Amino acid sequence: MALNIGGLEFKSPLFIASGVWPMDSAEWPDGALNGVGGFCTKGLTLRPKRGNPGIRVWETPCGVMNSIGLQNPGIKAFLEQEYRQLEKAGKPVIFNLSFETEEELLLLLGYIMDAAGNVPVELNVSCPNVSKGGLSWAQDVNALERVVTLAKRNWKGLLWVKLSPNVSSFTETALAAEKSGADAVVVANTWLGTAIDVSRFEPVFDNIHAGLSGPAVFPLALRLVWETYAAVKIPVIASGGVCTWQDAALMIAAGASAVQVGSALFSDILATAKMYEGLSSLLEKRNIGSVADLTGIAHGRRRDTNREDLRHG
Amino acid sequence: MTFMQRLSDFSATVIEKESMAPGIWTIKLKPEKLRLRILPGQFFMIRAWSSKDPFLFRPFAVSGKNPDGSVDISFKVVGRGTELLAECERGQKVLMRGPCGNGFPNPLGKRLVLAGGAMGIAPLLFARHYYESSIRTLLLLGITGEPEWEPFSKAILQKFPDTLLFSENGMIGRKGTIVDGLAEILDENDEIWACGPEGMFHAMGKIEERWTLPIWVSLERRMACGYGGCLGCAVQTREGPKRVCADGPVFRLKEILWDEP
Repeated sequence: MALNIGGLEFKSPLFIASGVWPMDSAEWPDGALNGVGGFCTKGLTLRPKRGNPGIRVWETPCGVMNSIGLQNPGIKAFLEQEYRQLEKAGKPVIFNLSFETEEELLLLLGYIMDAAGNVPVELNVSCPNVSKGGLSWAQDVNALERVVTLAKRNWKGLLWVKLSPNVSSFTETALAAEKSGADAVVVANTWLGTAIDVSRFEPVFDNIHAGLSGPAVFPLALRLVWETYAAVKIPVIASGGVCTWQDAALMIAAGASAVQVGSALFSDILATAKMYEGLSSLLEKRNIGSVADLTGIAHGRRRDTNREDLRHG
Repeated sequence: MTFMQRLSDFSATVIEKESMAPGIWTIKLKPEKLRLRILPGQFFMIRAWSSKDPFLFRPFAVSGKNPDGSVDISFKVVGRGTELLAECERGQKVLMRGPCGNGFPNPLGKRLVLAGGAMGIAPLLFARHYYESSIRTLLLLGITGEPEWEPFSKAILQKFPDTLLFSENGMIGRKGTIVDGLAEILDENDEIWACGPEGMFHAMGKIEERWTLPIWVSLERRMACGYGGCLGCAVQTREGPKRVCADGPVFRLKEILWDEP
């Protein structure tokens, strides 16, 4: 189950996605970190953020919408307090970073380097780019290339780019991240949706829009993983609605080298641990040597099937 | 709090189900394997279905704990999750996550007022029972004019006959709000624990400004995780944002900044 991403070894291909895990060890539920290859921090910003007012979570069929607003203590307080707690888990910690300007990103990387060294970072390019009037970094390929290039030049550790599904051409953004030096792309973030409360006919969220996650988005994420795998050479890390080991196996078969687990933990705290068990026994039963051998396997089958069809046609 | 038990997901069986009033139920849930250690004010996330839809657990206060290891959950049907829980019959399995949250602080040696607004009385029923033999507690229930609260109040009175009852329209008990009632008994008591709708806390805030006795409140919020991860249930306090599920649900009333997110 071990794997290598950009030269770094991980013991499991299953990661806990940003924004679902408590940053203080007192709250860590028993057994929930079994089989976890590493975990992503909450979205970290240069300055502390109090998060969004109003309702922050709203259940939808087979899913959940959230508008948390990047609530976090700011990078300095995080490095001094929460990071010390997270380290105790003995698992790699991936720093998920949000930034509104290039200068903010450079400062974030500087603080992390000083306090934690060359740890893996995950750029959240769904956050607004202030110079583009609040459009996300991912919505402008040039801005995306610029900011990933900047990060690459200033970061010696592993660099993941967590792409946004809320763009017109997803593969174009994946290619831009690859070209600019990303070690892996995370596919993807939450899908923007809207909720209106039927009892008041008013938007549920103060921001009107909020991010949808959970099993409802699994087929959408699977499609993006499939297309990204076909387009880029760097590892693809799937993230979107994975709840069971079968979901994880399908993401890997569609092209993922690793899988992030997020909302699944809301409905089952041991989701990742169970996925690890399921995936391990799948590899064993099917005599598959490693997760890497399963990555993208469905693309090959698809081509074989096409050839079959041609022969019979 | 050394008392606290690490949170986990586990399965439990419905061993009893009792109707308190139309649409209001108390069910007894017995965990299959573990023996729960819980404090009044702590809560559980419950799902009475095994499918991924509805996707999230629902938070419920504990309203009682029984010698056989089961816990009582008293709730009003307000949506899909509570509807499915209310449909559970004896013998049915449910999933539970918990114990969640901090619970009320140790009240030993104090004269305690427990003030519940409608369904918000649930965690205070547990507190009343829990401290029955060690301290003096006074239970207050305040209700609005909806018809279901009358039989509900009678069910509470049957269990705790000395409950002071207030109804907004005077249909049962004294006419008025629980906050009117509180004002009369403050100087004979040391601390107030309250749970109910937010409007009740706003009114109580004015009491805390005038009187010095501490008021602890148990808050309710929409929650996704229940274990402190998602920050969906945040409340702003004088010490910055706090999680109702993990840092609460019990807070000092004066710590909460209501006007802010």
